[in-house]
Amino acid sequence: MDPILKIENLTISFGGIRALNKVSFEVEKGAIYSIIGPNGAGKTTIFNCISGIYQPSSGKIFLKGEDITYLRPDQVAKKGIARTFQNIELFSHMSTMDNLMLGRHIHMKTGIWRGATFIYKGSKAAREEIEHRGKVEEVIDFLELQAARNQFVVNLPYGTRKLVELGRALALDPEVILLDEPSAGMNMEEKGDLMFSIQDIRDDLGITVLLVEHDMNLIMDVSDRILALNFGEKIAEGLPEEIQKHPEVLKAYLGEEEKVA
Amino acid sequence: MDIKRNYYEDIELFKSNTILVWSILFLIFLGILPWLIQKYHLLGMSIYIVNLITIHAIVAIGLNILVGYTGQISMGHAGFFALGAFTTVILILRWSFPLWVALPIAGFVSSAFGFILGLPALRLKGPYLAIATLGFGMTITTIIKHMEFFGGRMGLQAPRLYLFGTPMKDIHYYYVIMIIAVLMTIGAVKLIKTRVGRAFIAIRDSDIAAEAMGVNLTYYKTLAFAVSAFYTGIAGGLYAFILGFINPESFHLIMSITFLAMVVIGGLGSIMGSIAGAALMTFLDIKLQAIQDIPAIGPALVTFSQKYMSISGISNVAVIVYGLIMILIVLFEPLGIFGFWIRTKRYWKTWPF
Ligand SMILES: Nc1ncnc2c1ncn2[C@@H]1O[C@H](COP(=O)(O)OP(=O)(O)O)[C@@H](O)[C@H]1O
Ligand SMILES: [Mg+2]
Repeated sequence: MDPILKIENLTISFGGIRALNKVSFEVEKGAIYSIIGPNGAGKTTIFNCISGIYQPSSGKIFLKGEDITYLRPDQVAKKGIARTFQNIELFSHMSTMDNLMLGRHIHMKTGIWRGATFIYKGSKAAREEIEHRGKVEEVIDFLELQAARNQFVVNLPYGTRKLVELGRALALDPEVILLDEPSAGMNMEEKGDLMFSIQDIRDDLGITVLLVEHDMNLIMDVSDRILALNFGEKIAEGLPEEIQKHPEVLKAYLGEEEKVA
Repeated sequence: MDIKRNYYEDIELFKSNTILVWSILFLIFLGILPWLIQKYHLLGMSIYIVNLITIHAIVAIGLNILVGYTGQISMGHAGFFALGAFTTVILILRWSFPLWVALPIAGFVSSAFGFILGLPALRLKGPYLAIATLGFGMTITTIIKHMEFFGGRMGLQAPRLYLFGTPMKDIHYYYVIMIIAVLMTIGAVKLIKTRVGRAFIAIRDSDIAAEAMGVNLTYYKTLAFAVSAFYTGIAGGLYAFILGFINPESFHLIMSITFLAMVVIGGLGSIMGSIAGAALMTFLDIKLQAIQDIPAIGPALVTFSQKYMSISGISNVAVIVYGLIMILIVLFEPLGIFGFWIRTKRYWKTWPF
C-alpha cells in the first residue's frame, strides 16, 4: 500500500542553522506515527513544513502521492491535513462552539451576502449553520467538551484548551492530523484520557495521526512507528521496541534516560 | 442530555420573545422619534443631529468589522467616506441616477478601493498599517481636491432630491437613513455570527491558526477591508445629502481618527457598541460647541480659556473636554460603552439579590 504521507529529504535552515537535514519518512494510512527528540531537534519544524507555514529549502512532501510541498497553509488544510500547535493557538475570544465551527470553515459555503441576509430557519445560510453545528456537536461529545461548549476559551483551564484545539482540528474532518505535544501541561488523569482519545481518533474516526510528544509512556503505548530526531537529523526510525533500545536514541536522551525507561 | 438542541438558536437574531418584543418597541420608537424630537426637544436634539448620528453609526459598524473583528487598523476611513459622498453626488448630478441606485454603486466603488487598499495591508501590521491607511485617506482627499471632475477645491452641491414630487427635507432623509442603518446593522450582526464573521474574528485572534484551519488570509483580510469600505461608502453618500454640500476639506485626518475613536469608545468587536460610540461622540462634538451655555461651569471655562489660551475660547474648551472624556472612558472602561453595558446587564440580572 502506498503511504498516505511521504516526506523526502526535507531540509530547511534558519540563518545558517540547519533545523532539518535531509529527513525522510513515510506514514501508512491509519497509523499513529510519533516523532521524538530533544528540544530543538526539529519536530515542530517538520509539522510547520507539512502544514505549509514554512517552505523547505529542499525536499518534498507528498500526500497520497500528490506533491503538497509548496502549498499555502489553507490549501494544505483543504487537502485534509489538520493540526494543533505546541503553544495553543486558539481563537481566545470565541466560544468553544465557534472555535470548532471554524474547523468546519472549508466544508461550508456561506459567503458575505448570504451570511448577512438570511432571515429564517429555512434559509440556505441558516440550514448550513444548523447542519454543521450538528457535526461539531459530535466532536464535542467525542471529546466530552459539553461543559465548555458555550464558554469563551480564554476562561477555560489549560488542559481543556488543549482539548478544544484538538476538537477544532477534528472538526475539519481531516485525513491526517498533526498533534504537537498534546499532553503538555496536562495532569495524569487528563493524559490518560488523551491517550484513549488518540487511539479513538485512529480506530473510530479512521484518521492518521502524527504525534510529537515528550511523554515516553504515552508514546510507547500508542505509537505504531516512531521517528527519532536530533539536531535536525534522523537518528532512528522503527517500532517502539526498536526505538526504545536504539543506542543513538539513548545517547540523544542521555541525562533524560529516566524518561525513556 | 438527550434533548435535541435547537442549533438555530445560536444564530437567531431574536433569541427570545422578550428580545423580539423589545426590538419591535425599539423600531416603533425609531418610527416616532422625529415627532418626539420636534415636540419635546429631547436633550436639545434636532433631526439633523439624529441623522448625523445614524450615518456615523453606519461608519462605526463598518470600521468595527475591520478593526474590532478582523484586527486590522485603519486611519483612512474618511477617504472611503469621501469616495461614497462624491460618487453618489456625481452619479445623481451628472447622470441623474436615482438615489437608490447611486447609493449602492457608491458603496461598491468605495469597497473596490477598500479591496485595493487591503492588498498592501496584507503585509502590514499595527503601526505600519496605521500609516499606510493614513496615507490612503490623505491621497484620496488630495486627488478629489485637485480634479475638476469632483468640483475641485470648491466641492459639490448635493442635488435636491424629490420624494413624490416634493423636495426631501431632514425628516424624509431621517427615514431613508434610518431604514438603511437598521438593515445594515442587522446585516452586520448576522454576518458576524456566520462563516465569514467567524473567519474575521479567527484572523484577529490567531491568523496562523486561522490559516492552518483553511481560512485564506489574503481573501478574508481584503474582504474585511472591502466590507468596511462598503459601509463607510454608503454612509458617505447619505452624508452628502444631509450636509447639502460636500467639499474635500471636510474629509480630513481628524475625521478618520474620530471614526476610530467612536469604535474604541463604543467597544471593539461590538456592533451595538459601535452605535453607542457613534452616538456619544457625535452628540458630544455638537453639544460641546455650545459649552458656554452649561450653567456655572460653562462661562467659567470660557473665561479660563480666554485668559490663558486664546480669544476664541469656546472651541479650545470644547476640544479639551472632548479629549478628556475620551481619555476617561478608555481609562475606566477599556471595553468601551459595550463593557459598561455588559456590567450593567449583569447587575440587573442579579438585582435585587
Ligand atoms: N522561525 C524560526 N526562526 C528561526 N529559527 C527557528 C524557527 N523555527 C525553528 N527554528 C529553529 O529550528 C530548530 C528546531 O526547532 P523546533 O522544530 O521548534 O524544535 P522542537 O523539536 O523542539 O519542536 C531550533 O534550533 C529552532 O531554534
Ligand atoms: Mg516543538
